[in-house]
Amino acid sequence: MNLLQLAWKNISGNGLRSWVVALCALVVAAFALFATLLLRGAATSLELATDRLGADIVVVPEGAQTEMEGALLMGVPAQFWMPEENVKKLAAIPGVEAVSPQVYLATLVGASCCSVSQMFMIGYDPQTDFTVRPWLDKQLPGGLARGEVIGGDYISATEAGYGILVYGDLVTLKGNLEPTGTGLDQSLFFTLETAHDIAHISETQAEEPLVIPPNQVSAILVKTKPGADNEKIAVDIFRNLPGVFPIESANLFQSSRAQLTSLLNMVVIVMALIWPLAIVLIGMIYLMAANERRRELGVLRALGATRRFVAESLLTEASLLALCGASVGIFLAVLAIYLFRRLIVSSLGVPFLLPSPASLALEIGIGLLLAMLSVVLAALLPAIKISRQDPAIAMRE
Amino acid sequence: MKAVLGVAMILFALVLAIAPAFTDCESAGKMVTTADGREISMKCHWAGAAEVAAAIPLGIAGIYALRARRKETLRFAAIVGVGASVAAIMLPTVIIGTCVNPMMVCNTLMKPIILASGILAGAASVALFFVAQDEEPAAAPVAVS
Repeated sequence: MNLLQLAWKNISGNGLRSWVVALCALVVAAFALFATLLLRGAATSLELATDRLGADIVVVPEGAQTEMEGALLMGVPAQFWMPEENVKKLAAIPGVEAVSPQVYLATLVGASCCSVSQMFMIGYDPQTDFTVRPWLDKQLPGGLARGEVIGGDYISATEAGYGILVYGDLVTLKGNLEPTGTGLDQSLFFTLETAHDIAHISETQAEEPLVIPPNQVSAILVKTKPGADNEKIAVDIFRNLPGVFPIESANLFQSSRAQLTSLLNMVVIVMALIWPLAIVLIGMIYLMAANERRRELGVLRALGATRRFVAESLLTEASLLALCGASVGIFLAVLAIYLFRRLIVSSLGVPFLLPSPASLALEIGIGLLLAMLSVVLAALLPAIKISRQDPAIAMRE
Repeated sequence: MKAVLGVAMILFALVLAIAPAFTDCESAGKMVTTADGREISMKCHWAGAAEVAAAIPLGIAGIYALRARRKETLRFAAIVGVGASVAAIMLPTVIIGTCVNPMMVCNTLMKPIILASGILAGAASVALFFVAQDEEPAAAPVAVS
């Protein structure tokens, strides 16, 4: 009988003990992986959303910062306006390379003139745009024509011929952008011309007209010159343009970043409680098992097994249990995060993006290693202790 | 072990039968209004209702896993369990489907609950199939003189 067979016999012969040890490994691995996937997924999503925005500074009407973050991150429709003349004023500020206005709109709730309720829509200016065009260049080198739209990853056509009904106007979905895990995935993008066309048609075709106030925009995206001090430019904007608030891209989504930090702190605290507890519990179980099995292991030593073999048999048993428990835990964690990711996004208010297969494999590996390390660490002391006992004394007791 | 698997199968069957009634769009007060003003259920409601058809054989297979002793019976219960689990998974994904908007409650809550229950019930059924091998074999026929 080799080491593995002996370990397996011990596992199947001590059902309850094996279940408890495997369960500890399961909890440690599942929690560690779930928390890691969640936090990394949220952080990646935030970075991707900031990158996709492509602006160094986003200028919004004063007081609309939270609304804008909610719209971009969670897809919660928001509407706010500021004078279009701010575009020219911003372009004149030293250090600014390019500026581009956007209008933020939303479809109606439960109206037959809109295919999708409360969908966030972004209208951009194709002449000055430097944020939407770079993503479109891959799919639509010619850009979007009038009546054409491009959707986030979740957007699909609801009418015949790739159509989506927006305020009674049938627009054509020309494609989808890659997922970001944020509200941008549920948003619709079109040019300002299309936005005004929709507003015009909505006056007769929609249950409620789409109102775009004349000479007003929702936000202005600013690109600064290479090497420019973004903070100084933001301060200049704040001083020179009353009624607006500049947000540096590094400071975007502050509420979500704060939410993420508090989540991280909570995970660290829970992990700091669970991990040592699991190690202590498993250690105690193995200490009791080692005492129970003194005679059995004494016989093994009397039959010629070395101290090293006895210690290794206990550690192999612990490793096998850790591997089984951690594998199940990892499977459950991945299943939960994959299936319930949208619920997590809407409940926690943080964006989330599934990791790439390579990154997932790495995180699974770390989770397995952590669980096995915990169990082996806990079983190490009892294994050494029992391997050092004298076989004659052990068999007599 | 087979008792644990049997209880798990029964629990998953109960989740599949009951959870959709509280997690579909209709339970959240969302229905489709037709041109003549009538309100009708969305397709997620029918996918949820159809889950009962998958949950019943899964529950019965679970009861058999608890009660039966013969290897053949347990294996048959395991096969029924796998079939019911596959049906439970396919109803909201392939056969009927759910609402189009991925952020609606049927897609964020009902479908994940059904898929998780279906996958775990399937895993329990597969485990039952292998556990059945350790159970006592069918009694040999007794010769009557």
